Amino acid sequence: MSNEPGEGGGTFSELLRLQTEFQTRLAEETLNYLRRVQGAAAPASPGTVLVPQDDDALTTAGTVGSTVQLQLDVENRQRVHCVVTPLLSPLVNSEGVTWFPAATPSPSTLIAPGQTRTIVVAVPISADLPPATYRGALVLRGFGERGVAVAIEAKSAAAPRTARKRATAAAPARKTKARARGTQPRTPRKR
Amino acid sequence: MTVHPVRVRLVDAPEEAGRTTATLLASLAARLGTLFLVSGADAVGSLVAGYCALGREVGMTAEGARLRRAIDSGRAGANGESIWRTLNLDRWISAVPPSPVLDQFRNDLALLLAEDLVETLELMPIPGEAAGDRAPAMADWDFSDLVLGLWAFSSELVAAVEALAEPTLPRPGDVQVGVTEDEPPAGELLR
Repeated sequence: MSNEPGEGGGTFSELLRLQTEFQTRLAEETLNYLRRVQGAAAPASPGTVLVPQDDDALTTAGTVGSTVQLQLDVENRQRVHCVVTPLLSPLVNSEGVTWFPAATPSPSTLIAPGQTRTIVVAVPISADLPPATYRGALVLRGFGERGVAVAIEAKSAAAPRTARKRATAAAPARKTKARARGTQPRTPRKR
Repeated sequence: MTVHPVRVRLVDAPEEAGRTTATLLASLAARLGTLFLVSGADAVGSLVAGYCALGREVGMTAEGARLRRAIDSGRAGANGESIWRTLNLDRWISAVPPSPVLDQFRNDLALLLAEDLVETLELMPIPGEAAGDRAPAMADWDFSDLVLGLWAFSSELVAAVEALAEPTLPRPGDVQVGVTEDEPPAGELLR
């Protein structure tokens, strides 16, 4: 140990700093531990768990600009009333496009014990949404992370028009064929 | 386009006593009893942390995520976050075990609709259960978590009150004819 006053003070201040840090950390961890104990000792609030009856997913399709509906039959198997509030998660397609659907409405529904109620969620498909299949989940608020898988196929609105145009374009050809068929008997066959 | 509904069941959480009138009543009584054992800061902090936890959950849904983005990008979000950090609300709320506010609200609501409430009240006091490892975890909460949690909780509260009143709610614009009381008896002895 050096006799230099500066270095001795430095050592002592370093020891003091370490001790203060230790005490601070100890106090924080003790407080954290006590908070956790307080949380564990708090009164329990019996909760609800969502159990899908089958592993089916809610699948639907619609053209962009239209509105599709998702239906969920919720059966309350508990012995008291239950409130359910459906919410859609963000939907993602295979190319990484994320869609935040403005599902309307998502009302809270009160379900009596033993009762089954159908919850309908209307999902307007944005007009500027790239056509693809978007996957996500329909969750019930407060029932944990479990939900029902959702797949919504957004189809291009131009597709039917193109098909109609194609149909119109193809119609004369069919007509021509029909005429050809119709005229065929009239044409004398060369033998 | 509508698809066939998917069926889900709401059941009691495993390893819990389940939601019955007795357990819900015991939980409510235990919560009220705990208020006399903890400080006001702990009680308020636990409730606020509970709203934050609910907001964090709701923020993962499409509607919640949209709201969160809007709040975070506006002046209210910036000012709220400044208050949140400067007044050390973040340190206070993040160090308190969150209350499961939504479960508690739904359980209290179910008590109001229970058919066997009067009989169960006669059995009081009913011992409650401690949350144990089912207690919600502490975390670092943001200002927008609190705002979203308050939004989600209040929207459910409004819907629940309307659902409670629905069976006996008078039609809008209903007219009630008042009944005028008879003239009080007059006389010198009554003056």
